[in-house]
Amino acid sequence: MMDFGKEHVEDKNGIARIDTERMNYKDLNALLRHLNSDGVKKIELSNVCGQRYIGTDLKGDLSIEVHGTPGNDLGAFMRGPNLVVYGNAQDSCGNTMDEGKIVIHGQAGDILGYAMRGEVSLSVVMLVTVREFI
Amino acid sequence: MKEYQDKRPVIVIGGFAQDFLGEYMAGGVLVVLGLTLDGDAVHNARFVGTGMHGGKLYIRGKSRILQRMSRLLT
Repeated sequence: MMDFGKEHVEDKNGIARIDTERMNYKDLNALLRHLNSDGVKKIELSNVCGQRYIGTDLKGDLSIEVHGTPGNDLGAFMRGPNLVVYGNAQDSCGNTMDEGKIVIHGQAGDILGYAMRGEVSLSVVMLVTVREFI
Repeated sequence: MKEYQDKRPVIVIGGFAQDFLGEYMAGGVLVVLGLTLDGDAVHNARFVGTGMHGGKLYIRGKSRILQRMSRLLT
């Protein structure tokens, strides 16, 4: 296994859990790409704090839970995955996103969905709710 | 935001949006539900749909641009 700076824990249901505290965004995204190409279907990120490009370059059937505050360009160029954020997103969320879904239980920053092309039959839904999150 | 062949992007915003909502929008659907606005409050976004030439934009509640349009029409 490549060294991504931090180990992830994968339980018997195939859910990969990553504690992203003090993790560099490049290491985090390299790990996410690695898990995605390995065919992992569910990833849970905890303690996210400003890491940018989460979801970029990820494809296919994958769901990602983000707990914390992701940085800019969340889900940029993403093609397929479901991303749920329990917290607020920052700027350029869904930039040039191609397929998939992003749900934000909080607020989004500027230029949400810029150059987004979306997916077949209305299923690219970016749902931004200003709701209390737990 | 734009459509591409059979790809049709949708953004649903539960609360409210701010300035330049849907700027240069060319396709897809944008929905603003205004669920977090108090009663009769007006959507506070300016320059909504500037340069928009495609797609649909739905705003629930009172908005400045709709008020201005209705003044122009009457």
